[in-house]
Amino acid sequence: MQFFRKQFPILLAFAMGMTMFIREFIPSKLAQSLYEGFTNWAIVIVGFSAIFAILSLLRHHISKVRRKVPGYGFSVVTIIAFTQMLILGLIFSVQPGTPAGWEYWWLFVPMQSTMFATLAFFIASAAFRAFRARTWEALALLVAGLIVMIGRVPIGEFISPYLSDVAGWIMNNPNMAGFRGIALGVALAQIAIAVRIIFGIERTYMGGGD
Amino acid sequence: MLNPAILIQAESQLLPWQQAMADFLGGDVMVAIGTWIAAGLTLIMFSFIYKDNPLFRLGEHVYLGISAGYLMSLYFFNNMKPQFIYPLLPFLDPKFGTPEGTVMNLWVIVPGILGIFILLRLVPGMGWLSRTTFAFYIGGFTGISLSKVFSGLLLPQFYATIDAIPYRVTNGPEFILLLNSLVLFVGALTVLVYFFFSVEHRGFVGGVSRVGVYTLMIAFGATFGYTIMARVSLLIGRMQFLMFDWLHLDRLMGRLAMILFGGG
Amino acid sequence: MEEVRMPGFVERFLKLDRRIIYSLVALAVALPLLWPLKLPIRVTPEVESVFNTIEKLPPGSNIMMSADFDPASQPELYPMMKAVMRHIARKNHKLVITVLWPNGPNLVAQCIEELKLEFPNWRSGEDYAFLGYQVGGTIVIIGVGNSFTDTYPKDYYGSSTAAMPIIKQFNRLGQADYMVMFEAGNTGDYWIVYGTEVHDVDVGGGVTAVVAPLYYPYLQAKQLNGIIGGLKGAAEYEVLTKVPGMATSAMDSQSIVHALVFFAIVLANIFALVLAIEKRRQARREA
Repeated sequence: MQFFRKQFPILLAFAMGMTMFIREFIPSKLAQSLYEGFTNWAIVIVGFSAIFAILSLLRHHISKVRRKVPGYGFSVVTIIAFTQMLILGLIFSVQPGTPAGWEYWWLFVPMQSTMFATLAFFIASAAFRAFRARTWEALALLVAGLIVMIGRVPIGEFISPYLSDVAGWIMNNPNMAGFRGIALGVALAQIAIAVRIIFGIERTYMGGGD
Repeated sequence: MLNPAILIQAESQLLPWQQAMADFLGGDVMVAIGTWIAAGLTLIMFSFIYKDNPLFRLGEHVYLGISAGYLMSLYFFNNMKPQFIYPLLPFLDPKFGTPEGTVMNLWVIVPGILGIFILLRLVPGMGWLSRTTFAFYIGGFTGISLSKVFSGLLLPQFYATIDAIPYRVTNGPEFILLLNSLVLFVGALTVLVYFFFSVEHRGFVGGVSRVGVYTLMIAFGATFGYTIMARVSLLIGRMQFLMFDWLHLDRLMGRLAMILFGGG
Repeated sequence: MEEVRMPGFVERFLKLDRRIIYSLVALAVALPLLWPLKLPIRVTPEVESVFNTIEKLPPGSNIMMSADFDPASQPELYPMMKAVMRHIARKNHKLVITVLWPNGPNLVAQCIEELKLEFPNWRSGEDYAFLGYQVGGTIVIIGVGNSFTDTYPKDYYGSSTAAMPIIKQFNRLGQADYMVMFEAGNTGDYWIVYGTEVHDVDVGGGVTAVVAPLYYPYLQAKQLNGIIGGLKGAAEYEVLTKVPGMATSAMDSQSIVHALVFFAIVLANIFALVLAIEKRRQARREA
């Protein structure tokens, strides 16, 4: 049993990783079938994991209600909202023209949109109160940010077309170079992590369990 | 504001009771009720700007519950039914027996069992079974990604960096191209040197990594400028809803203009 | 140390109550919506590139679209998606739409229904196929590279995809003549790496302003042939398609808020610098 708890998953990850990697270099019908089969199976597995995520959330709130922690009333609200939406969704589906679709449009959309819209106030306030060029690096960040901020909107173009051109140059050159360096680093890191996972050095993705 | 319940009858394949329900939910009364509820929730969410309060917490938890319920229904209809339930039990498909019906495929039992292993993480003592599923999925996916990241990200980006250097330098406008090429090449290289922490950043390496830092600062400054644009856009969207869809200020301004300046 | 004496307004300005800032931002957004300035919108080459590609494709070309966003990014991406879909419908191209973010499909459905009022002959299954949402992210991208029908046996409306005329001629990503993606996060990276680079399909990106700078490396490497960035990008596309919409009407507010934040940051830094110089002078006097 210990074998299935510890060694078997590592061996399986290695076998799957090597199979899918080597298959890339073998142009055959079997290789293509393996590829398509894995993709179709993976979509089913991910569906279950998505459902697991929601059930975990529900379990967390049910646990809060059971233990009657301070503020558990809000968890009751969450559970009620979840249950009614699930029942309506399963009976009528969630498309526009259904009760769940109506709730999605008039409750969910405004709330999610507004949560992110409040950030505009916070970012304006933070930029004003905290954005100070105390070092040369901060000055570089500030100048680039101000030019792009004003050059990429109609008022900047109205003040001077050169503002827009300079903002465009910043986006296409130093900005591009900076994120190119980051992208190359990320690509190298992804390859390194992939190798570590296949060879069983990296095992944190398996999670805990017993 | 968009009307959420427009469904053109000819295309929608709705049954009569479904069409009646859609017409009711899309009618003036339900749209008006929805607009007022949406406006109220918007203002409740905005109240957080002043300070955290119980109304905002209530709205937050309602949002969480509705979101979770919506997602669960969506996963069931878009994933579970067509990819797992119908291939396993094709007679459950309403189109069973027609050319559009699902064909039986018993192989879905295997990913189904692997998927159930994930759900067993909720059962004490059974969580270890999920390791098999993760090993299968993550192992297979990393095998695919190993070659794709190399050929789809690393090589093209690397090639584009090298290719930024022009092969010949001439006078005139191409001087700008040379400047751009140098910024691209030197900038990308120096950023990579900055992120290489295995070598101490002193002397020549320190100087090169300083250039990388300045390149990154300019990039982050540009990101800051664009982030302001993004957040303000979201605020404009909500203000448009409150001002025009809820309060109808555009109509009010129109009427005021007619009263003040006269009109036909 | 003796307290630094500064003109009162400098101190008051630097310690401005955040509620005043919030009120100014709200006014800067609201007033131009009521009294538009109608500032001209200049089109950038990145946006024009996407427009020209769709414009120059022969009618009936296959276009793949992925709308990977949710209501949080709706104000930016919905107008640009609508403008691009209108352009595609106008050119009679064949369109297949997928969604990789779970809270997005109803937004796309809404957009389609609004466009069908402008194009009553635009038919599901023949001119376009809205496949809807599928769980999996990158796995779905790999899946649509193999086959739409395997990854999406049913479309958003519950119809069998295998029976659709459009899917019979356009059943995988590699058969697309062009792709447009609307991204609120980094799903676009996965579309490029696992999708368009593998199947050699040109792709244009409509992205939120937050992630737009991150996509410029792909533009220079020609892995992306254009970027429609943020609400400004959406307004530019509306200008190109000659149908002003939500994005165009928001540009004046965008401009005024940006100008407000710009001047606030500049003034705050100037005053902070003046304060720092005064502190140093004070310290020298004491020494």
